[in-house]
Amino acid sequence: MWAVVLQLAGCLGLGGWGLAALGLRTHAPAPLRAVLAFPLGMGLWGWLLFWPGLVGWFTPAVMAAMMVPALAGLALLPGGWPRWRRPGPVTGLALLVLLAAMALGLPQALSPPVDADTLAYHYDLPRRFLEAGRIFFTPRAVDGATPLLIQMTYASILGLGGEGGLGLWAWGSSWGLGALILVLSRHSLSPAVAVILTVLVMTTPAVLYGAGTGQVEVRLALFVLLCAVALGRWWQGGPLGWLVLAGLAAGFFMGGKYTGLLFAVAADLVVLAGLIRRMKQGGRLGGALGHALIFGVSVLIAGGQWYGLNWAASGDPVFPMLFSLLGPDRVRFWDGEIDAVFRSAFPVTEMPLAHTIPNLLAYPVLATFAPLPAFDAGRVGLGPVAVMMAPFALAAAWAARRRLWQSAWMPTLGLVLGYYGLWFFLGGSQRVRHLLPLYPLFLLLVAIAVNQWGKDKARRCVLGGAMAVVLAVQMGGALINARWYVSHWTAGRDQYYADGLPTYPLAQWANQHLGPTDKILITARELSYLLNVPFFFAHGSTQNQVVMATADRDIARFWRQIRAQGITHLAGIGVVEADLERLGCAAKVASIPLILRESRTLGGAGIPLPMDVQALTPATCPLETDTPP
Amino acid sequence: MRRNAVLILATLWLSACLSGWLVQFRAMVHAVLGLG
Repeated sequence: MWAVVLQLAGCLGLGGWGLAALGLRTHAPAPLRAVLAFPLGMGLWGWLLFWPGLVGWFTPAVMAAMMVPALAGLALLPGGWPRWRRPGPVTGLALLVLLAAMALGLPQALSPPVDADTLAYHYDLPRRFLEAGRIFFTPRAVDGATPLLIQMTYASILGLGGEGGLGLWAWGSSWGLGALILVLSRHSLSPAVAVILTVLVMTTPAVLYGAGTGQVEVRLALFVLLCAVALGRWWQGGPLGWLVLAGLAAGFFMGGKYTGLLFAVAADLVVLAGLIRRMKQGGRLGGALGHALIFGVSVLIAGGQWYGLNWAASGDPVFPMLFSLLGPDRVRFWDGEIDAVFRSAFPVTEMPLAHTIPNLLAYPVLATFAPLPAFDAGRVGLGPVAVMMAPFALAAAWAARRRLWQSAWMPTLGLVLGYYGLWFFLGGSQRVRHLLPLYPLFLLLVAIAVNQWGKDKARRCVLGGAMAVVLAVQMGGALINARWYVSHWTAGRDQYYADGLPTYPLAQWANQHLGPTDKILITARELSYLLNVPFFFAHGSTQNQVVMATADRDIARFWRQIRAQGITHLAGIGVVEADLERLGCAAKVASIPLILRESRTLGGAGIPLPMDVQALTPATCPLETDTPP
Repeated sequence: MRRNAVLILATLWLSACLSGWLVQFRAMVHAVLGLG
């Protein structure tokens, strides 16, 4: 708890230092200064923690020592806060709904982590980094070799306060987004509409899904908003510090997820458009080039370190995406065979829509009303608000088309459209939550435009009625999400995980029966964080150290690879168990009853699926003769 | 006249969107719970 409070304050303080260093402290009113300081500070904190991690000083003591000067930056934030005014009845009601939405996140925030991706790597990698006292490269595509700026902030919570603070930090940092939307929208919208917009964003199904977990998208949305505000101020002739701030924000997104590369390109295009605009107004070419350079360097400094680590460790800065370009001689931990498996598996599961203009336009409608399973939008989508409001926003934009180019929101529109186009044509996955970092900004833009359309009372009533229905459904979703955690409030840890995670009995068995000299091969990624014994996660298409795809056809190689990894036990690999037993290379030591459920939150009938655990028996294995000593 | 037509169109559009979304939501819950 104290670690979370300290880190929230520390991030605000670091942001205070950052704004002061950029000369922007007096360029924003106090509320805006505070809500911009938090994402800036969070990004700086994640960035700073990389370096002690790199040199092997990734310890709670070092983290605590770094927190002290960060906290001192809080002194730079106060001053000039507006006086509290008593809200009207509609605003008061909206504020109550906002508080209820915040409260509904607390049961999850105060419970142990149970989301699969979170356990697989968002919290597991920080745990392993802390155990090792340093950060290291994980040679696994998608969820291993990935930029981890946000996960660094989980590591410091884990190091300074233990697991109990992780959910609370996730909850608190996600509400930094709520605060940012509230303050930004308040500039253009009435208090009631600003609060309602904030609740609409914060109860979006994808936000509910990710905010209280280690998923990074909600926190990346903070960097997107920070970048949009900074670019908007610079676009309107603000000081150079805003451009540097925008570059840092884009870089933090890049350091937090590969899709941040697309965002950095979109932001670059917006900066170029801004520079062309300035030159048309009489600016010099040299000055424009200087500005472009400053922006690019800010992006690279803030977000480049994880790409550098990947490059140094594997030869590919975006491991393994440049393999076909760089070739097997330059990229380690990867080869042509696994690349073919990876590339054939990925489009089917992650990119079902062809990259065409009609599909680009159809995607938002499909994702809202008829999502394909690969969109992952049925349960955790973006809600209907954006599509519902689109015609009204377009009508308002058309009415204001002559003033649009001068608007501070113009760069925002460029960021949103640029990112969406780049993501659709170049992105690696069509999961709708990959759009989540841009979604709050888009919704803010739409709300400001729709507010222009809905000036008269009748229009406001129609729009307000529709939003009330959406809000009611989304609050219902928040309630259902909270219900599972409340119902398991008094459950012990084992019972909690047994109910929430179908594969948990395997982790329980391994922790009870194996020791530090054993190493279990698992294929259920969500067990990673929960295992207290050595393990190896053998994904079928994202790693090349133990090739699973051809294990049954080349059992001798499979044996060599698992022996080279020091594996002593196999769990539920599903391809070669019978062959290994027949050859005398493995013996079943346990059969663990698992029950797979479609949804933890909604429930549903379970499917029994026993999982066998085998111990390797090299002494009786004829394949062992091939193994080098 | 034009003002009312815009309001009616807006109401129809918003209702259609809400219905479409809720139908999708219901189908998803049914699928998850195996209700057919």
